[in-house]
Amino acid sequence: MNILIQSLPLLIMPAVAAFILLIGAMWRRISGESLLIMAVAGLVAALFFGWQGFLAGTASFPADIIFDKIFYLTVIIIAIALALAMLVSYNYLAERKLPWPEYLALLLFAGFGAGLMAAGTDFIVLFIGLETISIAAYVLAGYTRDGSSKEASIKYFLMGAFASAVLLFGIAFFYGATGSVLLSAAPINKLLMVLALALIISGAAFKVAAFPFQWWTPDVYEGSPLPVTAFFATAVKAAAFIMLFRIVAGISGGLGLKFESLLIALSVATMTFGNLAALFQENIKRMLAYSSIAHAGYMLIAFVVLGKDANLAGAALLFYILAYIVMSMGAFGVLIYLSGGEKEFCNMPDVAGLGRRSPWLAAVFGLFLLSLAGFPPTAGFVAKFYLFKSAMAHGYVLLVIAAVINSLISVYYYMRPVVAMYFGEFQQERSLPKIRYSVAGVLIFCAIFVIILGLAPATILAILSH
Amino acid sequence: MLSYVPVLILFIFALLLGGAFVFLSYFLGRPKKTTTKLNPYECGVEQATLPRIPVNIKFFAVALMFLLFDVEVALLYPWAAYFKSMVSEGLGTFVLIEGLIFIGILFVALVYIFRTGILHWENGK
Amino acid sequence: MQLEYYLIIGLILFLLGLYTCLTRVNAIGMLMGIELMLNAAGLNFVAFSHFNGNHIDGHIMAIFIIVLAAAEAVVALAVLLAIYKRFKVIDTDKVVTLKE
Repeated sequence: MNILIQSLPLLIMPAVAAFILLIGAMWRRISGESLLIMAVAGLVAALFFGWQGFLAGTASFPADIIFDKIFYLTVIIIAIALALAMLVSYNYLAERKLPWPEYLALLLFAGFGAGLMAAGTDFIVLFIGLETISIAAYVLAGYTRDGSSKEASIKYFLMGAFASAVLLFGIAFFYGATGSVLLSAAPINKLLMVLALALIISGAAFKVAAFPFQWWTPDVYEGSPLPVTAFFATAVKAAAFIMLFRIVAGISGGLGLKFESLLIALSVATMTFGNLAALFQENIKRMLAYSSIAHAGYMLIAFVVLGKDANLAGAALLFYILAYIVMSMGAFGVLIYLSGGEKEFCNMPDVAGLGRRSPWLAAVFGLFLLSLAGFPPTAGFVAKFYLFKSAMAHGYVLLVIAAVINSLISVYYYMRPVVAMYFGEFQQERSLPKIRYSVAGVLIFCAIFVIILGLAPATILAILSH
Repeated sequence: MLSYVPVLILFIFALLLGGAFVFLSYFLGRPKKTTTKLNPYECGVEQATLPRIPVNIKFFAVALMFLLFDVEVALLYPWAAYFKSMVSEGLGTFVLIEGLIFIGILFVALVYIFRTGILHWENGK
Repeated sequence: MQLEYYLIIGLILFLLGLYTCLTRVNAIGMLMGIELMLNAAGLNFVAFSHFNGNHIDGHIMAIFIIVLAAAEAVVALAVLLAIYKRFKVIDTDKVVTLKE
């Protein structure tokens, strides 16, 4: 019975998803609002039980699942991200008359997969979680009727399934090398283990969009519907990083093999590529996709530190993920706010002159972009500062210098929309959409959170450092 | 030899069942003897069109559903294989509930598919 | 039979899948390549499991791989159906609306 209560935050999501699917299929007349409220209520319940579990402490489960603090924190973060993604998509889906039950259920199933990825201590559980979230993501990418959405879906599928196969082949070798699928298993055969690690890191690097495996990201992010892109950039990315954290922490615990230099190279290459490619993008959605690659590069710094101080690295990573979720959800939220019922308006000229036409929206968008660039006193600054400080404390000076230079480069492209908003002239006569309360609520929530995390990070950091 | 007795029983049972159906349909069906029906059976209808006509999309949908549910049952195989040893360890109820939950999930999916009308053959949406 | 034979067959399968995946333009061809790669991994799991005293994890993983391959194939084919309706082709080099 105890086990059941502790796993409630994980189980509540698929249960609500199945319920929504069934009720949506049985009773076609049900409105999108009521389904949305049900889904968000389920997520709030997951958040609540996750918090209870966090207070209660670590519990283990027979089947290689561990409910520790990282798991509960991940569930809380994912639940927040999913709830924001659902609320932000309300008008988008309603105006396009897309079906609600499947959308919400897929998001909730993805949340379940993310929870499994955070809870697994062996490769079977991790892989099932990964596939649950991936398959939901493939379908979501193709959710609208546009050709570009379908194209994004099939591209994401082909690349993602390819990466899964590579990862799986690596896991097979890992199993051969250690005789077990436990993450912490010690290798018997060193040669097989090196092969396994190479394949596993490649597959996982694909999922977090690290440097040589990031090619799918811009196309998939640009082609997918905007709320789904927001979901990819926040929840899916967070889950992939937590999985990588579990893998690297587990493997380096049982192995003592050094792949620190590999991680440093991955990190620097990823952030440099992301920032350089983002510089001259005309489409803001695509720019944010490259920016998400760059942020993945920063987050990889935490994995370099992981070998020295797991607690510090975990706290820095979780804080960064949380900050990145609120600020990028906010940035995508503004784009969703701007996009009309027919078409998405994500190009630079579309935001030109926004500062005069809608000062509040422009101010909020500016805040999110400043936070993404890492200006104080926003969440992005504190997250970066904390991450770089933890790397500095363990003597990775060159890595930190590279990261700081990258942050400076990134200021250029984050400032371009801001400059366009305040100094540009708007070209076309398009009236701004009327106020939408769900999107506006998400924007306000994200903005407040960005400022709170920036001004008073101590409480959250204390929670995350457990 | 004694271990083959169940096989023998199975054979007899199959014969009985098959025979029963044939006889039942013969007595209950009362087929009308029209000229078309009395014609000897040849290989279906004569070919009137090219074989590569576009197939109704419902075939694909049903094929996809079949693929999914057909393979999901593979997950029940290890459950069935370990059921006995689990029962002898006193975990019988737990394992039974686990299996039922899995089947329940499949059932939810099936209900969803029925209600969305993918399997509805005639003039669905 | 030795473990190496299985591994070599697994590797050949994997490389064939990789080759198919990289050279095909047709999306279903690429899907077949991915399935080959998944099955190579499954074969490796079963082989390692067999030479590890019939260790249970390998078998479980192989079954999961089978189920997973089916689930992925279903999703991919459903998306391809939608793409075919929209573009009338399923060649990956013709389904292009996004710029590189």
